[in-house]
Amino acid sequence: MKFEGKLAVQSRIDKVWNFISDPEKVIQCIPGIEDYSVDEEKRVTAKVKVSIGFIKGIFHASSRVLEEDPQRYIAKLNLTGSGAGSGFNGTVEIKLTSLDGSTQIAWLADVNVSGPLGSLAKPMLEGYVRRIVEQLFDCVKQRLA
Amino acid sequence: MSFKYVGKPIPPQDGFLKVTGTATYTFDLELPGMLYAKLVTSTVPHARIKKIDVSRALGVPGVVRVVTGKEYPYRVGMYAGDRDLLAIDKVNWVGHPVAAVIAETLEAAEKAIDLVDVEYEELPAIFDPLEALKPDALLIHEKMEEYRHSPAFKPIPGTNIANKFTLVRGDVEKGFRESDVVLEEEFHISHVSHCYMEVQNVIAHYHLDGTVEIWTSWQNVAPVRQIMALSLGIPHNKIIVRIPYVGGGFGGKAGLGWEALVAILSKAAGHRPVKLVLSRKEQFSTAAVREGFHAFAKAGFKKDGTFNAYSVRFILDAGAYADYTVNVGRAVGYSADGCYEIPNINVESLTVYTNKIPTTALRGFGYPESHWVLEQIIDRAAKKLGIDPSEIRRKNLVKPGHSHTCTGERLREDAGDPQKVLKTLVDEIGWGKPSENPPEPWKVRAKGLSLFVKGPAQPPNAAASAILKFNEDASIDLLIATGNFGQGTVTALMQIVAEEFGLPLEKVRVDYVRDTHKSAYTWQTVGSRGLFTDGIAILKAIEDAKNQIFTVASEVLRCPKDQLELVDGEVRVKGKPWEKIPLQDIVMGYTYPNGNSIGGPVIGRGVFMSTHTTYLDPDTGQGNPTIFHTFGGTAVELELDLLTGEINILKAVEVLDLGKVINPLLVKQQTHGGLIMGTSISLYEEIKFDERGWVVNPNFTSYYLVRIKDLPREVVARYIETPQLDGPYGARGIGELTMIGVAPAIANAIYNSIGVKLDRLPMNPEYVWRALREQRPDLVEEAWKRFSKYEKIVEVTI
Amino acid sequence: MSFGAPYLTLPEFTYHKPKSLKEALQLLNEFRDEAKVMAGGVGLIAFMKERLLAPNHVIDIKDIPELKIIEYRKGEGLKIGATVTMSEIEKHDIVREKYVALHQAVKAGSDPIIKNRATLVGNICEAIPWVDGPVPLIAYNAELEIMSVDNVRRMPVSEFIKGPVEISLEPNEIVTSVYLPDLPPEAKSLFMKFNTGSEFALATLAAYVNDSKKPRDARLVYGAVSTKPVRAYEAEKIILTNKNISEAVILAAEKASKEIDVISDVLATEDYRRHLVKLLTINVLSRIFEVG
Repeated sequence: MKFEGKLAVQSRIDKVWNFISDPEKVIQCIPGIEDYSVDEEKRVTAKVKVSIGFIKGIFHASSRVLEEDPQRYIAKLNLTGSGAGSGFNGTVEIKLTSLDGSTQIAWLADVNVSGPLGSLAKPMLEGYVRRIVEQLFDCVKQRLA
Repeated sequence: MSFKYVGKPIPPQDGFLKVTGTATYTFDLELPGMLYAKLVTSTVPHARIKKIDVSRALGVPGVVRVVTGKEYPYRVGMYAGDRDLLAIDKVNWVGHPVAAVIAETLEAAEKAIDLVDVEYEELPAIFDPLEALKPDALLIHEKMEEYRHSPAFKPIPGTNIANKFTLVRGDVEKGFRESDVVLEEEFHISHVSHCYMEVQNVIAHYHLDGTVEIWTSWQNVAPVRQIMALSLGIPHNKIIVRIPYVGGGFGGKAGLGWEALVAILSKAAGHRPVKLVLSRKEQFSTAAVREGFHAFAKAGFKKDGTFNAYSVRFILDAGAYADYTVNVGRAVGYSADGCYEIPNINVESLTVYTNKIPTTALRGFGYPESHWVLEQIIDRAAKKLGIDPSEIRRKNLVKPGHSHTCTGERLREDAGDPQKVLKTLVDEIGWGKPSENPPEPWKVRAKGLSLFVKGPAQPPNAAASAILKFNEDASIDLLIATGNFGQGTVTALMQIVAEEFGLPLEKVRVDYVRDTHKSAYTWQTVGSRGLFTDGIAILKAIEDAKNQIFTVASEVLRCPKDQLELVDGEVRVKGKPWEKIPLQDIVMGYTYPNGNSIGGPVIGRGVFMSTHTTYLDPDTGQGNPTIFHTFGGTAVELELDLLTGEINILKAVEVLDLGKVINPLLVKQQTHGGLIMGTSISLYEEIKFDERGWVVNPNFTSYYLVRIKDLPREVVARYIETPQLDGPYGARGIGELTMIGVAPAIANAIYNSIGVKLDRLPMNPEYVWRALREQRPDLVEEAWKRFSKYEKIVEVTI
Repeated sequence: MSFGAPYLTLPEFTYHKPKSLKEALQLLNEFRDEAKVMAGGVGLIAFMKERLLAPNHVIDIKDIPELKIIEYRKGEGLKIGATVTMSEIEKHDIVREKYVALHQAVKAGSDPIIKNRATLVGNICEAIPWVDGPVPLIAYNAELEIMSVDNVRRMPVSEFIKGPVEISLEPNEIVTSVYLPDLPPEAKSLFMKFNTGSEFALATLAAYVNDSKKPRDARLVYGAVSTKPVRAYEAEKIILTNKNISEAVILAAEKASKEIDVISDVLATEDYRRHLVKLLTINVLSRIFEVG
């Protein structure tokens, strides 16, 4: 499933970029984060508590940087994870654009969920993943403000 | 000749314990001090293993050990030899075991698998064998040249081809040039699971003295021992394999199992017994299933219907490991001609690795696949030529005693009567007589035919043996190895023994446990071979025992051996029934009144060995692969709902030339069972994968199986008895054959009646609905009109 | 982590079997999120085996007498307690005679062994899109009675199910009964299911009409086609506003197949489901209005 979104933050593009490209900072914005670690290659492993409807589970997730271009303000991450007998895998692409004084964050995510969760509630998962991503960027926005 | 037991409807001898729930299966067994193993399986389809961290798992109370592939780098297998005990360095499918947790309880083991952390570096995955065949495709097996494979197979290192089988007979290009009609068609089959009731499960005890004891739910003991001995380097007599009652096999418990792995786990866990039980989920994702396949066929016919040339390319989607599927690929190849004489034929059958679940045999062993293609080709050609499908079959059928199969084997004179099979089939289904109109005018009724032939796909030297031991009361312990997982073979074999000795059936016993140490040897219980091969061995053992009995009796009764006969448990002098000795006075040795004794305990032995079978030529596929051919046919009359795509079988006819019916009740059960399984695989069954290679329907709520309401409404089974002279009482095997014809008969019925081609299995409602809309929109529209047009106008008050 | 929850065992939990509703509600109030209520267990155990749920406490309500009641009162309707099994519902005379769509849905729901355990209330609380139970209930405008230690409330089934595995239930609440309103004597209802090779349907329809001669009230509820049962309001209108009902049936079917939300999943694609919606609608409505 693919989805995208945009939001504007009242902050300069280099400041936003510094935040976005620092996993230590971004990770604290992930809803339900319980535990995480970041290595020198910015590879993140994290434990995230997830609740979808009445299903509650711990997901073990990891991400690594596929592409990072500070000149063009583009970053691409790979995400994988598993929990509740299911697995997910995908990419997130983030692009920053300067809009006089503020910065627009545009994101495009392509995530695939496999296993019982995926077949049980695919349409619902879409809404759920969207909600998580929105919460994440909301948090980013707040932290930058 | 009249028999007392042979040919009689004797109920299966294991039925009572099974229906009372007291039969013992491996699943029921627990040994003192037994530990439980659980597999940690891959969540990615293709990746290098960067790191396996077992520390968190070891922290779970009750966990004894966690074993990873690198610690025990044994390569296992029977034919392709392509598998590691546990993944080493690389995982090749979602569900690939990377580690095994051993714990005091299953609960602890299941808790701990979640805590084994595996770090993967993903590689691009290949899910379609056609992609895997591309020259630049990534290699799934990078070390193929190291594999110790059987000489019958041709793996091609540097490619994803696990086996390349080729067969050449005649000149196929010339054949096409000389044909009046040439068709080109393609066909596909999806992966299916065996769906036996008892999941795969094994107990292994690796004793301190190096002896390994195995209990397993498998089809036969010998191959389990053979694989373990070859893979682990343990001498054969130090491996004892025991198989109690088995809850179904269908070919899925014939090849490589988990025994070698669990034996190693037992050793790793301080020589305590270890049990591994797969869950149903794992049956759909980790155990081997039946392969998927593509077939590309070209067929040339002459105006008069003569099948002149056939060229076919089979591409088997073998998944990540193909230990047994390489032989399925070979069998698909050499059965390409079915029961027709085709002078010019070219076959290429490629068994191809992909990043999907591994595959193995399933009831029919490649023959359902080859017939799915061939039998539809026949009907499509018939339509093009304007010849009736039964007539084109009649014209091209092989003639026993004259014809050669595509491997160049001359069919023996007593191979069966295919013309009679066809005639019986046509008569019973009322071929040529149109079906009644269905009560609902948006449905159509149609009839379809399919013929088939099959023999066991086995190595040329696959032997069998039997030991027959008399007890004090002249009861008999029959020591055979042929597996007992629902087929009924053992009951039929017991009938033969009772018949030959003139003893009540109750006097013959076959223990429910097969044991490499105690049972006689048989190569395998597969390929519908048990009754034939073990039956012959038993008849020879009976002859041997009788000879011992008559030698003693001849001395006691002072009469030449050839003047003696065995009747009702007594040795009698022919024509003088009052001169006799009861068997129990001989079978432990005969004692004269003064105490002098002669003879001794009677033990009969017999073997089966095929002397005329050969390996197939690696370049042309020529040779004699088969010990018998059983001919048969399936015809169906069905009802197709043009609006939903649902197919209902109203009547199914099955005809088999099985040489001799040993037990009419059990053969009927086999026939019904095969038709049910055939219907299920034709219409419903399919393992579905998502774009990441995960199986999305690993349970019976979303993996569809036939239900009682979907069964053929009426089943007619007819048996032809053209004896095979060297078969037991003339009999041939039929176990797998009963399902081969179902799928092509259904597809042919629909093609014949409305011209819609159904190229892939399963023919589930949605697929059929799409095919109808694409190929016959006119019919669908007409059906829709009939469905939604109401003569009666009803008005309501509003 | 392994492929797709391959477990044979259940996660550990403490098992409670209260003898009264009060006791059950108190336990639930104490453990809240840590607990799950079990009626038949058909859904709960499956979810636990998949590790989609791992409650520390399971509160089995099968021993509570007041939840075992199924009773019909004229003018009030039918009350079905939380632990009444599908088999008991299927055998109930009033259900068979009056609430025909419910009877048919229960009958088609699964095999007898499961029906001896499964409950209708449990079927609703699973909120799995493919199950049959909720579909006729929504067609009857049925309501649930929901209790906690300090509150009793009622809520329509249609609002209670919010989506797959998502229901409107607080951690300390138990669904105690489902109430089906009494039906006018002329009322007609039917349920039809399209399934193949599994008890899970590809599409179902429960239809209700107050009177097939003078339809004033009609409800068409489709199950297994979307993330939750969905009503075809526009199609219902067509039935209520068309004098020529033979024609209205076809128009309603066309409308329903277009207006409702339909999903693609492992069982079927959206196209095929929309097609089935059309067929089911014609089949069911032509039987209700006795056309064709």
